[in-house]
Amino acid sequence: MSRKRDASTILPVMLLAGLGLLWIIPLAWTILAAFVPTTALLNGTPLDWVRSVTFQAFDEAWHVAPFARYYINTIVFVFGLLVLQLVAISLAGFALARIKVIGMGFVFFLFLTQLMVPGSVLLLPNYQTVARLGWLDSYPAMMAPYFASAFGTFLMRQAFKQVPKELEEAARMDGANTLQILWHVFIPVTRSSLVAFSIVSITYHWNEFLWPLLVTSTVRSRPLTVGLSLLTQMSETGAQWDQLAAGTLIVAAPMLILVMALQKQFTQSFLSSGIK
Amino acid sequence: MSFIKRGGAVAYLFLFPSLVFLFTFTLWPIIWVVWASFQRRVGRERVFVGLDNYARLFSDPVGQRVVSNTLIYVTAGLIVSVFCGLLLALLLNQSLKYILLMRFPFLAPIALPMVGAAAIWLLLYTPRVGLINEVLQTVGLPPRNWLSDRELALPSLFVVYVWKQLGYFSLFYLAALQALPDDVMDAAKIDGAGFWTRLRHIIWPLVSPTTYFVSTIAVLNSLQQVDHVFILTAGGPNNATNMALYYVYEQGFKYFKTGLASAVTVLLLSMLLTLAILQYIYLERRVHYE
Repeated sequence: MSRKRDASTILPVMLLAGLGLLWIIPLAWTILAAFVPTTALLNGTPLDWVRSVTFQAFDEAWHVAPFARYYINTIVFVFGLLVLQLVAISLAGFALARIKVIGMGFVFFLFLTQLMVPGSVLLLPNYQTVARLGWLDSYPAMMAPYFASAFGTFLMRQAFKQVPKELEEAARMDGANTLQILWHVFIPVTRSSLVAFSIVSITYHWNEFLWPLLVTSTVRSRPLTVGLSLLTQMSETGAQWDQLAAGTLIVAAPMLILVMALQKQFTQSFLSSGIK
Repeated sequence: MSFIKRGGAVAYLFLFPSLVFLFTFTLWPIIWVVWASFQRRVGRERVFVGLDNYARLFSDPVGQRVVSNTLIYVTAGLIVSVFCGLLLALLLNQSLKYILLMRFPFLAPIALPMVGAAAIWLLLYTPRVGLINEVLQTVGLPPRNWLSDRELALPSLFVVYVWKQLGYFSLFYLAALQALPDDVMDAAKIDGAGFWTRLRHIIWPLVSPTTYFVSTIAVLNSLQQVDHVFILTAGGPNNATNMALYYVYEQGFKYFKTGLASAVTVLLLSMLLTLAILQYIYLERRVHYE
């Protein structure tokens, strides 16, 4: 940065700033629409906006739709699923990385198939399965297609492979069984992979819409995203669009805070999610 | 030998939970959907009709519309993800004091739910009170019906998709650029004359593995992300924004045409399979030459 900035280096900075400004407008407008009453927003000056800031739209949105219950549903779905996934991918990843057996060809094929076919494509047959199991409108229905994760399993397999053999052998000498070795030796040193997987899983399922839309039908299990979609249908006339803006922020806030707080970690995790 | 056998039992015990669910929710559904695509419900019975569902899809005007919408959307998504993704990454790669702050506008939409992004754009597109029409009227241009105009609806949805996902694709290019050696990095600086030549002859070939990778996930992404269709247009007006996965939903869950919905699913699956094969061939070749 010792070089003085001239016209040709200032141009890309201006481009980036301009584009960034353009990109933030939708989000900024939503925040404004949520905090400033619609009439003031459309007819007033920015000074009027500041004067009329109110939480009323949040209050109304919170009562128009049962967002508290939606929050509970999303949290149970996302974190319940995460715990199950972490157990499943640790066990499976360990088996694929550390134990030699016959018949692994078919096992790999099964995992690769899931890596290729995203769950959302198989809506129709999976709905039939979940319905036949009597799981409709419940948390297990939302979780079931994602319980086994090929992406997570391969991520953990890769991480476990890098653990030195000596660590494992030392533990075995001490009389530890396989499960104890996994828990006390492998899991602690592969924590960063587990964190990366968790961030991807949480973001993906917090934001998921189509599958929960199909398998939930009441407030008992309906998550935030489906709740928000119902709110958009109610305010199609544009009449309560301050409530819609507030509702959108209620749903998106945790993820936005997560990105702001953990920008670096978030970026890294998403890059690793690409290495499928 | 006995150790391997014992190891085998433990391995399968560890794999058991994953395998049960992989079989039930991935492998079995694929077999089911292929089988269902050759059948049609007649009364309460299911009848084998061969390729009739596929023939219907391609002869039906709505089916044709869905296929062409999907292809247009996916192709546009691919081009924008690669070219705009790379250009944005070059801009984001500058060493500036507030670069983390400058990256935020592009990162935030990635973390939003697609439903939330759609709701946000509903506030911008709404005919009378939406921001875009407000701005147009201020500068003296006529307002448009962004979501109910047959010509504009699909591009309007595409804008939402690009706004939400472009940052995601440029993250991969950004990582690739940052992994380049220092002397090459100079070529990636957006300054001075000959930038486009350097981009074409130095940067573009060097990031080609990333381009390949971004292309794959761009296709996957644009095929799967249909949440905004539900919120903004519900496939309308007149099927102008109806796309493959939305069509599966509509036929399968609204009209209960399981056979037709299954046929579309099978077409989607074969696209994914082709993509996987191409990726495999590409990886093999790279390993071979390196």
